Amino acid sequence: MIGNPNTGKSTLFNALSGMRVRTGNYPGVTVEQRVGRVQWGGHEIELSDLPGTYSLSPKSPDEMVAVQVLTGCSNEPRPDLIICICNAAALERNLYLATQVLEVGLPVILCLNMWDAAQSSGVTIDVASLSKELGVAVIPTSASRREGLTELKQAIVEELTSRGGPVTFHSDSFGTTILSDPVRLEVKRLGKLLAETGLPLEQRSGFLVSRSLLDPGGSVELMLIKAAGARYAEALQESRRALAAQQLEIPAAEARQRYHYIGELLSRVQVRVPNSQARLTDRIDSVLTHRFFGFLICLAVLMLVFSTIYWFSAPLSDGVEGFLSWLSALISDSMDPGPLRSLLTEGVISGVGSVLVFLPQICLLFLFIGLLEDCGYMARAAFMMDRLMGLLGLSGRSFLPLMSSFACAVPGIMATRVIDDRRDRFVTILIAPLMSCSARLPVYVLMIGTFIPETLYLGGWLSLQAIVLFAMSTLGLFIAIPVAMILRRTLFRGEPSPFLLELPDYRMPSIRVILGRVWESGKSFVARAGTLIFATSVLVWASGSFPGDQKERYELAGKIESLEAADLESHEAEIEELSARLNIVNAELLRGSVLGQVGRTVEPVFSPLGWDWRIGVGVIASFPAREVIIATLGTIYSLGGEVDEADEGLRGTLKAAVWPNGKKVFSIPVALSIMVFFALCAQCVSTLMVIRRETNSWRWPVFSFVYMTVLAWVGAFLTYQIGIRM
Amino acid sequence: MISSTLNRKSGVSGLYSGTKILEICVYEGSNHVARWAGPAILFLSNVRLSLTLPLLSGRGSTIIKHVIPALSVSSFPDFLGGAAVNTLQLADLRPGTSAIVTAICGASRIASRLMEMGFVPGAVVEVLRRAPFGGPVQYRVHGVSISMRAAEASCVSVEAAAAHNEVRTRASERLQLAAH
Repeated sequence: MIGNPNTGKSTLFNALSGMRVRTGNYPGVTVEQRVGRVQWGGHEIELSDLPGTYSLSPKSPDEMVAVQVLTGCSNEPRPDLIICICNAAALERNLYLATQVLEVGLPVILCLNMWDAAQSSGVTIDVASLSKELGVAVIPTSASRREGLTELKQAIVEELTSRGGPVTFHSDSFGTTILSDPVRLEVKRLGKLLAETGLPLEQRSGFLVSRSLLDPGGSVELMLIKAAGARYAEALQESRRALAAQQLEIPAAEARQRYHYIGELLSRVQVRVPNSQARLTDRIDSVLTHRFFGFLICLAVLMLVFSTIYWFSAPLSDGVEGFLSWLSALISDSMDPGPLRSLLTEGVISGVGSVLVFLPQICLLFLFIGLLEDCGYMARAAFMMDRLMGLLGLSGRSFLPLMSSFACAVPGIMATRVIDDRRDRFVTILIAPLMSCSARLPVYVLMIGTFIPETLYLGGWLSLQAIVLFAMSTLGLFIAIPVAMILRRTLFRGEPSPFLLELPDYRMPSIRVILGRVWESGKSFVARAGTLIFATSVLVWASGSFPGDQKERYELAGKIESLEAADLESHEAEIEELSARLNIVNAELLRGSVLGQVGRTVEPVFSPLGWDWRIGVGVIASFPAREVIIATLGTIYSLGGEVDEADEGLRGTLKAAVWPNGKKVFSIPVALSIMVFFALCAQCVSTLMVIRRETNSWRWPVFSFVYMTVLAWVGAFLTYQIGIRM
Repeated sequence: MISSTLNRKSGVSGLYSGTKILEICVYEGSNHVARWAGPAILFLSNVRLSLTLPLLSGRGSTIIKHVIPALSVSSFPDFLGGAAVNTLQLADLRPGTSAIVTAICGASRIASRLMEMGFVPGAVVEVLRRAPFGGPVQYRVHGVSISMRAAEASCVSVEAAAAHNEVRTRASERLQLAAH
């Protein structure tokens, strides 16, 4: 299935293939591949959804993939049938791709999607005449309303079964072409030349030859020159000069001829009656993209999205937490204290759990991103924010991914798929984790609540604590600006790619498709959480527990539990005493463990930041997820692991913590340096995993981690050193 | 600074005052080829340039100080789309106006992308609105709404159109409406 972006292709694909869809990446590139298997009329059919493309002269990796699949150059087998999907309301433009697809030489079915929207905007199309003219079956559909699907399925089955065998290619004629005779002549001539080189027929089909002629510098041209030698390159130049002499300059001639043909064709088969409906999009746009108010409305929409996410995800997250505690209790009840139980509850459940707790938030964010994109507003946001994004050296398309990263970088980075410029996309992916995500918030709240004085300004309107919180949240954003500029000038140099963004008509988003996408994304996130984060959590748990004599710990835990089970008042004091002892034992174990030893060994690295080894251990232990540091601090300071950022006990302990020489560990500069470190660090396995998936290599997650950690260290260093001198 | 008349002539190909020149080489006798930070490759003939130093320094950033115009229409080769001199560019149009595309110039990439999106000679372009902060501008062509920045819009030459009426084709009388 191929078609322009914004033609409802995904909706149609989902409607046709149901839930049996397999997603992945095309080999070697970061382009997503979606394949579905269906059974119609007794035949098993594989449907492949190609990335949206405007033409078959590829300008981006997406389009490249589409061309390769169609011409059989990729590792995928050549398709037996191409379904070309057009927006029935915009055939003037959509048919451009269709005329090219017809030249490939494979059977084609033309699908006029969004038929209902076309009708209500006053467009009438004579389907029969169009079908006759183009020589292919033309089926009107309305995927969102599930109309026309049966006819489409029938047509597909018919086409596939009526063909005798595989399609043969001829190098001198190709499919149905509307290009003029001079061009055809040149293609024939070039084809003959290629025939002499002995290339197999599929690699020199008429379509490929014409593409090599019509796309100067394109990948097909390069491929054929490589295969046929410099002689072919010369021949191409000759042909182009010959055509230019006839006023048919390449590449302008192709576009002119195609649009001319389309214009003529549509004047015969299409009638456009303007009515008020057609301008609805314009009227909405005049408000939403207003020069002054449009921007404010955009901010308001964002605020709305974020508040809704926080409001709804809180109870859901609590639910997940509740479930996990229940599970943890279940395990604790059914097993005696021992290494296995500790592994399950403290390693696996708490580690993986701290990531799963974010699942509701992530899913909600995917939902909103999907809604905004589907209804068409996202393009408007990119349009309005382009100038601002230009300050970072990026384009407006990076706006939504970066904003989403303020809630969680995982969906934000996945949303960078809409950025078609490879360099822009990479830079956006690399600075997205700098946006202050919601996992950093508990750390800020803890530090600010404990150490920043509660001074008020402006008669109680402004509090110092709020100012510091705001500063920390926006620190990442401010640092991201120079980082983006540097990246753009060093690793990702190049001219800014052209900004040509289509603003589709507003339409009702298809809830089914969006929920389907949320489900897919959530599933893949959980799958990743289930594997690598699981591994990391276990690793951190193990390094925090061993080596060390665990016996006393389990004895104490066992005693406490049996006392609690007996539930007698007289035992309360004993329980408390034992608990305190248990906490001390835990702290000592942590101290002596691998993690603790590592922490103490690298203390010199952290002391310029004003930290002691315990904070260092906390930071290292928070590699799976940032907020783990709070629980780790709780353990280190003998409070047990079940503390949160509002815990008075933890706050008190932090205030009282001292160095061996008696000096207080925590002070305002130290608190600030911890917050700055967390604002800029990359302690989040989920994010790194998503970067790996989106960039298809290990180099970039490693790079992200390294550069952000260095940045965090330097930031914390400066904060502390300047802080103590003030 | 380039004089304003030259600006008109050469602006069609994307050469403006202040444009960074990346490299200059001599090509086929008196023709010079200059490549700059914009998208196009421009063949200039009979042009004398005096430039600030450094001239070619690898990354070469020089600014044209003074160009003595000796450009004629014929010095623009056909592949630039037969750019006519003294034409209006899409970037010059105000929101609320329309125009007809006469030519697309510039390097292949942007030009072919523009043409695929519908900006072909003869197409009617409506200018809809400009984004906040002086950002991109929204246009409508061939029934599709497309936004682009000034850099891309300056690759499209247009001529002002008379108010165009909605086209009702003769086919509407003969047309048999489909069952849908």
